[in-house]
Amino acid sequence: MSATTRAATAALGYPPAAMPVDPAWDPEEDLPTAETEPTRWQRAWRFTRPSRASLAVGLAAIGLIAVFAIFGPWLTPYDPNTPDPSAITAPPSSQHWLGTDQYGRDVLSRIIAAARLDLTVAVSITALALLAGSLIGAVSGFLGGRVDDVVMRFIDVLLAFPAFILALGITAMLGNETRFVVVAVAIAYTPYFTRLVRGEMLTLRESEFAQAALCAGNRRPRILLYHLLPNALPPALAQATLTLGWGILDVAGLSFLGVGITPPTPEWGVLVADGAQYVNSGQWWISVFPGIAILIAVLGFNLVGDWLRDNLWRR
Amino acid sequence: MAVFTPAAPVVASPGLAPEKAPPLAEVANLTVAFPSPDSRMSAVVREVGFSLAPHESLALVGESGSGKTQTALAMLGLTRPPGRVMAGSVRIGGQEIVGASESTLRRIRGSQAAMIFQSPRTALNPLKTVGDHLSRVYRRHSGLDKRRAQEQALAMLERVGMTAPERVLRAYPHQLSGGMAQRVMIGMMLACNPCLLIADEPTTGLDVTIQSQIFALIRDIQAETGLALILITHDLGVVAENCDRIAVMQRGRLVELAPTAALFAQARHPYTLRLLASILRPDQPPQPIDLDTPVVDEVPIENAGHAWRAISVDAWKALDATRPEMIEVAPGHFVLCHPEPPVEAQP
Amino acid sequence: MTLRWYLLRRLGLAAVTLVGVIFAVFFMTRVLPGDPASVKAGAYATEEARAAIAREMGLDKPVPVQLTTYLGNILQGDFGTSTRSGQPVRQDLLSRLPATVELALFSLMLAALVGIPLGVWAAVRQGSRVDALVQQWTILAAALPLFWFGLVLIYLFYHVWGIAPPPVGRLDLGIPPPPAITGLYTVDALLSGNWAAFRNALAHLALPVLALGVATMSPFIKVARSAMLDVMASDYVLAARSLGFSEREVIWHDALKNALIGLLTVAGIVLGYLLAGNVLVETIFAWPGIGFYAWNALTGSDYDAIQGFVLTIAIIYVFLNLAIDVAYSLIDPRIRLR
Repeated sequence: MSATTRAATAALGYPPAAMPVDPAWDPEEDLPTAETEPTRWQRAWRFTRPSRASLAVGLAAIGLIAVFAIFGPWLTPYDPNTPDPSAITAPPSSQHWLGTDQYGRDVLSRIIAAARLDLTVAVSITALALLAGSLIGAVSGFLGGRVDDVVMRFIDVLLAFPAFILALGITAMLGNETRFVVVAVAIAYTPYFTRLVRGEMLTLRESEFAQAALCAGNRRPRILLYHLLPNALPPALAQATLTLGWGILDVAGLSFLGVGITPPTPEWGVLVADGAQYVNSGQWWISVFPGIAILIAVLGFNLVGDWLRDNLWRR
Repeated sequence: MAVFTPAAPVVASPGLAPEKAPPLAEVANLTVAFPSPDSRMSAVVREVGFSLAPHESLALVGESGSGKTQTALAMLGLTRPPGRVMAGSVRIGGQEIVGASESTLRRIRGSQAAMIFQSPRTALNPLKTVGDHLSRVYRRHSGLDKRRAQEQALAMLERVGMTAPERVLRAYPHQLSGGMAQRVMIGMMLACNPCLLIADEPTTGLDVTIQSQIFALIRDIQAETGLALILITHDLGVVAENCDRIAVMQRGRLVELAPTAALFAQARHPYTLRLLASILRPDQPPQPIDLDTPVVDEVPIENAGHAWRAISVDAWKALDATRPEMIEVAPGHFVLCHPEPPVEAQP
Repeated sequence: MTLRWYLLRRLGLAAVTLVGVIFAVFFMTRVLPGDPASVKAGAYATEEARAAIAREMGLDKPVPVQLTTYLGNILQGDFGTSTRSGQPVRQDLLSRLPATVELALFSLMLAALVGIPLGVWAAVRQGSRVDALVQQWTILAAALPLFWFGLVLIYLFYHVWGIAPPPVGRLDLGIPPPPAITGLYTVDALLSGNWAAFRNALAHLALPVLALGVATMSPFIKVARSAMLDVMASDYVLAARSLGFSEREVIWHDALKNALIGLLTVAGIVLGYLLAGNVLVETIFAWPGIGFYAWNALTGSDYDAIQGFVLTIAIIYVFLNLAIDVAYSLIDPRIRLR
């Protein structure tokens, strides 16, 4: 502290000296603002630090499942559907890394073979629900009024069922076919997208840029399509990623109950159900490993979905 | 624009008599920092110092983000983690605030110094009635029982000029207008009977008529109780009416501190001058705004006859690292000066 | 006055939704491209048998007539007859409901009593290691396949460690159920002072409740944490602090209640999880509730039973959501006095 400052502080009745509080803080050392600034890329990366590890884990999990789905037939050590009477319920070993099931089929091969079906089903469900839900939601929110009221009552009715129960009821009535499961679960998740996109639309519709677009002479369908929808989509896409995970969980749950995809088709829920009765007697690997596959897939989609939601949602 | 010569010769007058009464609040060398995105500490308040006599009104003015609110919060020990007071001292009624224990802080908050906030409606708990809010303060600070506290609450609502106090007592915050909510906040503050009120933009977002009512109320209370006031605002018009002294802040630093009349008449710091120039006067044509030259900062330089130069933001940062100091240019009138000439000067 | 209007409106909305739900189940069964008669008749039925069943179900009549009959039946509480038990579906469901309610209540208690404090704790210690751990646990628990998790629990607690009773039913075979008062075995056993039955009922509850509780815990943690963070950063918490109230008082008096209101708004989601998860958990643990009944119905193509089950769950869910909204409006003055 210089003489002038001392004089000034004395005149003002300052306490004579500054009181350093934090021992780690050296008042003589200046704050690091004048140092080299991080590049924009560095800053973006640092800013997402708390979640960037989880994003990496999520992408790795999805990557693993995707590799199974795409290259499955070349990766399976055994034919997933051929029984081997000589190796029935064999525990994990060097021949069968994850053991065999009650017919002697290789568990690892069946898990890998199931990835393609599970992933395809999840993607189809999400695509259908996203498409239908966003479209209905966008139009309903944009038009408002009577149309919106009627649509929302319909959505309320669908939301009055827990999603899984609705999917279960529809599949049970349609019959046990993969396409019916896809449709049923997609119907169950459509209202979530509708509500989300409609909510976004309601706020966007009143926004000043929408009014400005209208004043600039744009037609309403054009405003809906080019000005509003692109703004409503990021949250819907984040929701879609999460729906991929929930879709896998629900489809597996349904087939575990014997609804929808049925044995002997390799599907993760079916595989867990196959081994369920053997868990009591100690043959845990038949059910446990397929369950871990589900866990990895769902975890991956949830992590990436959460990250997208935190980073795409109105920021 | 490039060179500015102070109107009066600069005299550092160490012989000036200090304030007669012991100061009510003293802030010295206060530095508050928050972690920047790269998790290093970056200061939002730098080496701020001022003092406040009892019954005095001081205005803290400056642009958004200049550290006014953080200075005020630090004065009550309310700096929100991860922010920290890195250095300095705050004394209120002789009690050190920085580094004080939570129980000491609790004794001071409310009973010594209280604060009212920018958005009064969100500063009230949405689930509690106005009566709950006020009687809770009475029960905490005066140890009254429930019934007496309710009576006092009603009396307080009348005192802060509420027209239908019985009804307001039972109302929830969402049923109040902004002006009413601010009166309730003032009532809660008064119920603690403090010596110092920190008002953080208390009328932002209120109607102009309501705004003058709130300030009239604060002035009345000051006349009645001798309450000292720190008023945070960026409205210089409000300051002229209500405050004895003005402290101007820019980028976390106090750049000028002067009695109100002196500041309006003879501001020295370029930032203060810009601030003053921005006031619209009905009797004068608005000053043309020069949109062609890029916005630069001007800093005073201690030597070289106190010339002020326009410099770039980067140069300002380099200069700021040279630790500028407050120089007394006239009795009670302080201006921030840099001890060294700027490294890089630009037109 | 305004509250009464709000409640009336909400009640009316619930009634409309309920009618919609009944319609939806009707359309689900009669109008979707599937053929209920062939589902009911089974895969190996002859064409004559299928046609006979279709006639018996009234499927040969025009849709409006079917709808009227159906609505009439539902309103009289007639959910049809189970082909497996030969009993009216309504009776089957009612007799199994207490088992489901007991399981759901205990799971909800576990999820809320562990999940909410965990979320609040993580929020108060935001950015700490505790916070990080709690968040990782939330993400993991949300991805657990419930049916798989139940099997893992059975394997560990029953097969490996032998500390859980066999995962079948609500009581061991040798133990007679306590006299039916509420239908909840734990409560009934306590009321009748039957300690052996109480302990055994609790032991049987432990694993299914653990499975269902963990699966429904994530939303509680997540929402409790974010609601608490919002509230702790709010202006009124700052204002309370500035008036000299202690941190503890601020948390209990100002923050917690506001944060819990945020939780109430997502209680519907949690209850939805719970109702859906019930089917899976009851199936794994052979728990004689309506979920297990539904699974039996699914495997046995018991057509009316499935339909009755779906309808019952939806009706319960509508009423639960109604109850949540009413509770919400009573607690939050912003709705109560709007």
